[in-house]
Amino acid sequence: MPMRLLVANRGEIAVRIFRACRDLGIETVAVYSDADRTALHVTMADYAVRLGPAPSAESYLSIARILEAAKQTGASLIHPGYGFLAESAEFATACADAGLTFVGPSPSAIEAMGAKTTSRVLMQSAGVPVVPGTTTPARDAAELAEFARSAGYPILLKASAGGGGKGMRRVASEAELAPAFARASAEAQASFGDGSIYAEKLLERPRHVEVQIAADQRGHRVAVGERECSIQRRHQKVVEECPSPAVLPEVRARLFSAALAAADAVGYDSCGTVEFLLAEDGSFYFLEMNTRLQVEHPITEEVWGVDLVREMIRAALGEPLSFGAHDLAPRGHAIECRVYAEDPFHGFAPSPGRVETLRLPEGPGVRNDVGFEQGSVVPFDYDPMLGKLIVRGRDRPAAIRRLSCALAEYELTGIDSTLPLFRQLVGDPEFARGEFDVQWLDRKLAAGWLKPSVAGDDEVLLAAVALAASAGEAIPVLETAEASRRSSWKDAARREALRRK
Amino acid sequence: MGRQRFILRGGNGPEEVTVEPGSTGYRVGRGGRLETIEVRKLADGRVSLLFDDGRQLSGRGLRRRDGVEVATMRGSSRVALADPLRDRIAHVVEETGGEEKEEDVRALMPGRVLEVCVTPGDSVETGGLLLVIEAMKMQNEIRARARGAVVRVDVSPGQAVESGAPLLALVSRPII
Repeated sequence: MPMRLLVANRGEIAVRIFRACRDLGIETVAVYSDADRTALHVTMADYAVRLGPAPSAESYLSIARILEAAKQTGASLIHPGYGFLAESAEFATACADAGLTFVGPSPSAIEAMGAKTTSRVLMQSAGVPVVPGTTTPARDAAELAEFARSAGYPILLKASAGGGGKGMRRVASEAELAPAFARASAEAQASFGDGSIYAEKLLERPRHVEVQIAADQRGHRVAVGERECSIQRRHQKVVEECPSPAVLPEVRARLFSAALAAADAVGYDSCGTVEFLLAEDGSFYFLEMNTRLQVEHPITEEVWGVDLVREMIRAALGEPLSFGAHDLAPRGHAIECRVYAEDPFHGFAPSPGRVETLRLPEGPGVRNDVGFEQGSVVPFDYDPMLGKLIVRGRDRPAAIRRLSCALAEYELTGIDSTLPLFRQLVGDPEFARGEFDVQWLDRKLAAGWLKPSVAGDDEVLLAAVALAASAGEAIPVLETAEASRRSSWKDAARREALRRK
Repeated sequence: MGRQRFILRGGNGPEEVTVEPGSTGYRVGRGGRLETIEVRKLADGRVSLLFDDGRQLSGRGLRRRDGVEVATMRGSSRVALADPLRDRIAHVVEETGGEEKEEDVRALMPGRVLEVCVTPGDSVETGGLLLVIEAMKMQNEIRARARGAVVRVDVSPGQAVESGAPLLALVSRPII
């Protein structure tokens, strides 16, 4: 019996995983909720099983129903995609208990990296840099002065007992430390009944840089380059690129070995990502490890020439990675835009509905990972990501030019999308120079940076012609060139036939 | 088939554009200049425009409530459909300034009255619907741009109106 893989997910990532399955000669099983019966991922699969009604809790998050669907279709592999159950150790364990192969890391690795506090301690012991901070609560400012001198200003004071900004103070110099400590401690005492304070080094305008790890069950672990993910809106990645324009070769080497040390510490044996904050001085600190396939994996694939999903499936089957660290060489620069069904001109409100028209950009170095088609209805039940536009060029300026052309070609109507945001971004001089940090986009948006695109003279005439044509009988639009040619051939044939008589 | 007139607002502000079928294509007029455009409808619903000087532009014009969404290979943009009748009302309110003053609201182009939503004596709030006029094959909702009262209604549903015909009279009520 052929091997079958069930994707416990929907949208573009289910489509992406099905493609890897076809490449490997594995049959595909889709699962769906009532909102997705005719979705692209279902119509692309060899088998499809209904999970339940639209709400995620009764469909894509229902472990029992997903395992039942696997049993029903004879699937032996389960890929969780990203989101939903992708970082659920419980799900990975349930798959193993049901005799199914979970395409991802071991439940113990998921668990170890799942809790932020324990993973921080684990990383520290593995020699992975974490944001420096004091480990015991301080009772007075003098206790923190020594830490601040070694870590360097600015530092951030935080209430040991609290949260929500209470007892939190930014301290830029030693002179500010004592008064700031007094205020923070008083605030903490009033809010939480505990005036003890600890300190952390404050990273100003950090960048988000992450390292892709590919690993197998035979102990091979490879760092497949880094990604720059600092273009974020409210801590959500919006645009990613590979490589990072901010990472110098010397920093890159240290970044890769830190990421590999993190993966080694949990015996990682699949594809995963180690995220870091990168400071302006080139120092970097562990943020978290995502024990799953990442949304932005395609930019790594484009630059490094690997199929990460294929490697993940092979690794889950016990096969070795198909490459070693020395087999890989990066080529060019790739950028990804996450196309969301959101209205960027109205606070990024979700914009579900029917996709009226869809024309995707094409051409050299252009890749589209999408989970919908023209006529598809984008349901309001799930994440509003429609898909990803990925471009690659020989270097960063070439990639930006290519992205600019692809975004102009991208036609998506019927629902609002984040395309206008990207069209503005590709023309921004700071973006072109690579000068941004994780708060850059939020600062720009708050300052009214995003402007609606202005119709040119010819666009106005096109609008007038469209209006005239839409007024029914008013102005008939000429036939297509093809149609008229076809009819003249008919005429010619008819004439020819008459002549022969 | 007659000439159609639109007041459109693109990147250069509101302008009048006329579209008229000609012998070899459409004659499109703007800013006192006439240009001939060959228009072909494409199989996927887009249109291709070929101008006199060889300029070509293909794209889709999708009718929206407030105008047209234009999607071409240069990106997407909105072309707003300016409503001359509504602009007229805004004009009346501006003119009266702070004083109470009666003024006629007139049709700026030929059309047909579909609906009259007010009667004399009615108070209208800002944004209140006054009339619906079909002009340029489109239903235009005429709304009040400021608070006021209806003094007189000159038209009834179904009635055709010529350009310049009085539709109703409003007295503005300045907010004090």
